[in-house]
Amino acid sequence: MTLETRARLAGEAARRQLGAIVVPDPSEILLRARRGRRARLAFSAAATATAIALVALALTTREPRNVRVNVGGGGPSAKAGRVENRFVPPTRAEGNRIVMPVALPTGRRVELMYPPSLALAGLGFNPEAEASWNARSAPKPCCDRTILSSYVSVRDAYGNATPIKTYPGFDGQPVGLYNGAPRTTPKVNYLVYQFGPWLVEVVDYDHAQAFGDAMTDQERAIWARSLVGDVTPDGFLRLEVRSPLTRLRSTDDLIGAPRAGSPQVELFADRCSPGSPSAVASRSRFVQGNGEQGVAWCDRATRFRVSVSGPSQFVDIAEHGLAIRPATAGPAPRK
Amino acid sequence: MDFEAFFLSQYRPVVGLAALLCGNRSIAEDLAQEAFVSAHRRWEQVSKYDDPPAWIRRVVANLAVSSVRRKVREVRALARLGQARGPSSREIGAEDEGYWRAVRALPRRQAQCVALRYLEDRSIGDIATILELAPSTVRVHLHHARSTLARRLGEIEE
Repeated sequence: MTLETRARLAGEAARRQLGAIVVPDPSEILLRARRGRRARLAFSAAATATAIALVALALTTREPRNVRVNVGGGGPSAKAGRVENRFVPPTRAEGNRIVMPVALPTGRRVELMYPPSLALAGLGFNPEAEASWNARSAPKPCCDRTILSSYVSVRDAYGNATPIKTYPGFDGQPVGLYNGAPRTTPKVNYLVYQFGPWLVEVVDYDHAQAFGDAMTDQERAIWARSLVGDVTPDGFLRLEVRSPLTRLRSTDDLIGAPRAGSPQVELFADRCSPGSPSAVASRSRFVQGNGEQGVAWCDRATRFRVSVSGPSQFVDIAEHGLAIRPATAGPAPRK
Repeated sequence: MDFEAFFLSQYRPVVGLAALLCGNRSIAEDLAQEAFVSAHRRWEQVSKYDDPPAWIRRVVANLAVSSVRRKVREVRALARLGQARGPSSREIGAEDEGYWRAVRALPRRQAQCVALRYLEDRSIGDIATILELAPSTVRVHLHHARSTLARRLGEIEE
């Protein structure tokens, strides 16, 4: 049985269960909500008292000023570097906090501030973006694409693999079309660009499928020459799109390895629009489906949503000690 | 649409979505009820949205992966279990439950995308609207989810 078949069967089985759900009277739900309010108020008072106690404890046990730690390139005033396939940004100390600049491929910059024990920069940073191109609507819509990045060379990522085809990039540099295997399923290909130390991969399917809209050869050639990149003086990837591509935007910028259980911070730019259910400024804890801990919040000043997950100690430190702010330094000049 | 009609038409699918994401019917009903209470409080605003059913799904999908709330609800739901209702008349098969258990072990965004895709047969565009993501991001979440599920379940991906 294929995965698709199994998924559809599991979906049908779950849909059959819906009929067994007893729909209560709406007034019953609203009455229960009113009854619960009193209990929530009592709980809220207790939670406030606990929070005050925790803050007092944190103040009495805070880390000494100007503490120095070595976190593999992510420590105070550390230079840029690399961990696995991720970029370790340069950092500086500010009082007893580390300041880590973050520049998105769109050119937008923010700063993260955290206690040295969080060692965030040393986890490494890989941004993700997407761009639009309404090339056609039939047989399937095409060709918006997600743009992945990693801090490695083509050889690091693909070894001696030969590209399926090579297209000329914007500046004449070759842009290879590679099969994703063995790093991912053979069903996905990547248009692969090298901008300095940054590898940029545009996801493409190798045939039309349920979710997919494979690009034609001509469409791939246009993507290859319309995505332009370079590197900022402090080492971040900077991208631009040329016509017919439009609307380059950040999606999910990840600090840390994308592995279950490892410490991660996800940054979502402009994901905190007023009125959105996710636009909650207070820090709320969550548990992922695999039991992993997390905390997330929206930052009003930057309109970034910050989502932290990983070991509980890491999440605890981030919950109380991680902050984000607009960059205090101006945008770095283009190379 | 008035609130009562909205509630009656959306309650079952919203509970179903929450149940797949949190793995417990009673907790799912509690989460769904919280979402509807929230909708009722701001119904004047919610009813003017282009797609109120999408809004309530987004709320419940986020609630279902939220932990502190989930724990509180778990205790309350368990306390009610004995007095309220017995198990449902038709339980989901072991093989299908195994699939959904694997889905719940995915990162939360991937799990939400898969649940909306296969429980509700939603299009990429619908899922993107519900979760406030770009369609291409939904595709990537589904792609990663399918790769992981294929590996964990030993199925052939197609």
